[in-house]
Amino acid sequence: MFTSRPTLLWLLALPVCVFTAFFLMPLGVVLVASLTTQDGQVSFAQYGRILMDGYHWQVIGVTFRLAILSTLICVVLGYPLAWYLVRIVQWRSWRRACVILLILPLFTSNIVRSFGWMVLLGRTGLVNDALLATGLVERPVRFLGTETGILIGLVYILLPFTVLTIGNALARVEPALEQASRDLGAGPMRTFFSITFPLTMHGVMAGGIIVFSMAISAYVTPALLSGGKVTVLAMLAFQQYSTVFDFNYGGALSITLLAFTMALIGFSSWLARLGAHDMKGN
Amino acid sequence: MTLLAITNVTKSFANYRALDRVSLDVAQGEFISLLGPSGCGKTTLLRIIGGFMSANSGRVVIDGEDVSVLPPEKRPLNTVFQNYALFPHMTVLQNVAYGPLRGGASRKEAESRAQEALEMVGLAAMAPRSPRAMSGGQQQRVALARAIVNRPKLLLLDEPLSALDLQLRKRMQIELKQLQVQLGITFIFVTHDQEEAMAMSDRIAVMSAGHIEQIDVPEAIYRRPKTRFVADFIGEANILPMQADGRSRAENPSEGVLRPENLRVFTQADDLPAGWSSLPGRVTATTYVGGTSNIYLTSGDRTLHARRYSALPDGVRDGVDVIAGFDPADVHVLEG
Amino acid sequence: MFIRLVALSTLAFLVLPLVVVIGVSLTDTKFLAFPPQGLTLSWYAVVLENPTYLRSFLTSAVLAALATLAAILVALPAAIAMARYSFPGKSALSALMLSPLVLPHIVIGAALLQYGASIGLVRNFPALLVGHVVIVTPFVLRTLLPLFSQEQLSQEEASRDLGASAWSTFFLVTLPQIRAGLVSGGIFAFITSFINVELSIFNTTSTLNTIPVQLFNYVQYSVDPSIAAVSSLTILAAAIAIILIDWLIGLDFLSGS
Repeated sequence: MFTSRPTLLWLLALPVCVFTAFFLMPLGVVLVASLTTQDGQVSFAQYGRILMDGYHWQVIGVTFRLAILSTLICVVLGYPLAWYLVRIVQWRSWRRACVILLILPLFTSNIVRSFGWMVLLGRTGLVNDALLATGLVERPVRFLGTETGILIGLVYILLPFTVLTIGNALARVEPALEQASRDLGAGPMRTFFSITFPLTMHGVMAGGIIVFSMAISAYVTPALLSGGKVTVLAMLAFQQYSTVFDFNYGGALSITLLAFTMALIGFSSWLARLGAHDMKGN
Repeated sequence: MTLLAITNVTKSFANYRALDRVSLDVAQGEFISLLGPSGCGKTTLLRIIGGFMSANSGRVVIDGEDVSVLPPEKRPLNTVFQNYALFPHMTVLQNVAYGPLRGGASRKEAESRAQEALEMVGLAAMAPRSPRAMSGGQQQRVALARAIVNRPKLLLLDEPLSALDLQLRKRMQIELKQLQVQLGITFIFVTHDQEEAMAMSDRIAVMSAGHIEQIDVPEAIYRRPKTRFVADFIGEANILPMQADGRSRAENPSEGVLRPENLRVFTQADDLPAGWSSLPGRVTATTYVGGTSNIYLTSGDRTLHARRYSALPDGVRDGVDVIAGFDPADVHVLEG
Repeated sequence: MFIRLVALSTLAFLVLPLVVVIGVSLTDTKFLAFPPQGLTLSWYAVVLENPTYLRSFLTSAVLAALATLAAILVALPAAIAMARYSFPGKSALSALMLSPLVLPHIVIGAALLQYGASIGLVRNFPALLVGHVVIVTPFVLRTLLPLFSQEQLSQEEASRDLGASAWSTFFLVTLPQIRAGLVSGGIFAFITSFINVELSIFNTTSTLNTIPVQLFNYVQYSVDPSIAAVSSLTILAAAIAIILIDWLIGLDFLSGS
C-alpha cells in the first residue's frame, strides 16, 4: 500500500512536528532554564541548591522510599491476585467481572480514588473504626499526613498495573511447560519456582517499572493524603511553578525528577536485557 | 509381562464423552500406537496415563501399582510433548538435566547423565545452546533426550513427529524405533498418521469416538479390519455388500472389504480367472505414479478403486467399459 | 486456599474506596459519613444545579474527545511508518512517542507551561489540548503497533493487484483489521485525558476548568458530600466506558490460549 519514500515523509510529518513542537522543545526549554540563573547567566546554581540542601535530600529520600515500598507491595499483592484470576477462576463470567473491577479504578481519577481513602483513613474513618473494634489499637491511628497513608494510596492506585502485566505473562505460560516439569519429577512448588516464575519475570519487571516510575512522579495522591505534612519531589517542583514562580529552580527540580525516572528505566531495561541474555544461556 | 493395565477408563467433558470404558493392556518393551482421527480420545487417554488429567472412573496400573490418583511427578513414566514443551529460559543441557536433578541427583551427575542422553540422540555438541535457536528436528531430539534421561519404564509420545517435514519424519520414525529397541522402554505413541503407526508399532489400537475399535498387530489391522471404520481409516478400501451365499464366515454378513491391490480390471470377460467374482464397471479416472497405477471405476452407484504395481493394462482409458474382478477369498468380512 | 484469600482481599481492597465514595454521596448528613446515614439523592441535585460543575464536565468531555481524535491522527501515520518502513531514527522516534507513558506528567505540564508562556499558548483551551494530545498519543500508538503484520502486506498487495487504489486498500483491507485496536486505544486515550490532573492543573483557570482539577482544588479546601456525588458520577462514567470496551473487544485477556 504505502511503499514509496515520499509517502514515508508524509506519514512522519505530523507526528514528528507535534512531538518536536510540544514535547521536545518544552523539555529543552526547561533544561535550559534549569541551567540559568534568574538574570540569564549560565550556571549550575539551581542544581547546587538542590544537592547542597539537606531538606532536598530528605524529600528525595521520602520519594524513593515510597516508590520502592509501593513497587514491592504491588508485586507481592499483585502476583497472587493475577494467579487467582488466571489460574484459579474457572467461571468465565466471574473472571470477566474481576477484570472489570480491576480496571474500574484505572478509569477513575486519582482524585476520586484518593478521596475515598481520605474518608476511609480519617480519625473516625472505617479503617480506624475496624481497628478499634477488633482491639488491635486503643486509640485511633493517624494515617492522613503520614507516609503510611500515602503508601496505602499509592499501592491502591498502582496495584492494577502489576496485576495486569503479571496476569498477562501468566496467561502466556504454556501449560505444557509446567506439565513437562511435573512429568520430569518436579512437584508443584518446585515447578513454580523453576519454570513458572522465571517465565513470568518479564511481566513482574514490566509491572514494577510502570509502578516505580508512576510512584516516583506521583503528585495528586501524595498531595491529597499528605495534608501538607509530607512532601515528595513532585510536590516541591509543582510549588515552584504554581506559588513561588521560580521557573529556573522549578526547572532544575523537574529535570532532577526526570533524570531519576529515566535512570531507573534505563537500569531496568539493562536488567531485562541481561535477563534475556541469561536466557540464551551463553 | 503386562507393564500398563488400563481398566474401564471413562472421561466426560461438559458436553461429550471423550473416553467410554476404555481398557488396554500393554506388555513390557512393547511399542504401541494409539491411532485415530482428531477427537477420537487418543490424546485424552495419553493425558490420563501421564497424570495431566484424571478419569471420571476406571483404573490405571503401571507395573502392578495403581497410579490413578498419583500426580505426574510421582508416576514412573515420561512424556514427549506434542510441541516439545522445552523450557525456553534454560539451555539444552539444563533442560535435559532437569529430570535427574528432580530425582535427587547431584548437579554433576545430572549433567553427565544429560550429556549421555544428548549423545544418544546425536546432539552432544548442542548442550550449551538455547532450544529456541534450534530447528524443529533438533528440538524434537532434545525433547526425546529429556524424556529418556531418567530411564522411565514407560514413555508417552504425543504426536511427536507431526511438526516435522515429511523427509525428516521418515528418518525420525526409524531412529525412534531403533532407540526404543535399544533402550527397551515401552512406548505409547499417539498419532493420526496411519502410515507412521503401521511403520513403527508392534501393535496398533485404532480409536474412534472414545473407544478402541480394534487392537492388533499392523498386518492384522490392515488385512482383517473388524469394522468399516478401521477398514476405511487404515489404507484404502472397497466396501462390497455381502450376499448370504455361503462365501462369508460371519453370521449376519453385511459388508466385506476388498483392498485395491486385490481388485483387477479386465477388458474382456474371458480373461477372468476361474472362480473369481466380477462386477461390470466404467473407468472414470486413471493415474500412473512411481510404478503404481490406480484405476477408479463406477459400478452401479458404487465407486471402486483398483491398484497394480505395473503400467496400466492395455485398453484401460477413461470412459471405457470394463470388468472388475476379484478372488472371493480376498474379501474380508466386517463384523459390524 | 491461601492464595484465594489473599487475592479476594486484594480485590476487596481495590473496590472498597469506590464503594465508600458512592456510599458517602448518598448520605443525608452535611458532612462525609460512611456508612451513609439516611439515603438521599439530594447531593446529586446540588451538583446538577451547579453550572460550574456542568461547565467543567463539558470542558473535560470536549477536551478528551478532541485530544483522542488528534492522537489518532498523529499515532496512525506514525504506526504505519514504523510498521512498514525502515528508516534511520525509527527506534528513537518510537521511544520518543511512547515516553510520555512513563515520564512524570507534572514535568511535562510544567515544561509546556514554561514553553507556552513564551508563545502565548497558556491558560487557554488550545494550551490544554496540545498537552493532552502529547500524553494520550502513546496509548493509541501502543495498541496500534502490534496490529500491523507481514500477512497484511501481502493482502494489501493482493488488493492493489485486484485494482484497488492505495487509499481504497487502506480503508477496505488494512483499517478493518486494526479497527479494534483503534477503538480500544482511543477509549484508553479518552479516559486518560478525562481523568488527568497533573497536566491540566498548569493551564486551568477559574473559568476554564476540567472536572478532575476542579475536584482536586475543592477537596483540598472544603469537603462535603457533593464532591462524593461528582466523584460517583465519574465512577459511573468509567464503568460505562469499561462495559463498552468489554462489549466491543472483550476484556477476557487474562484467560490462557
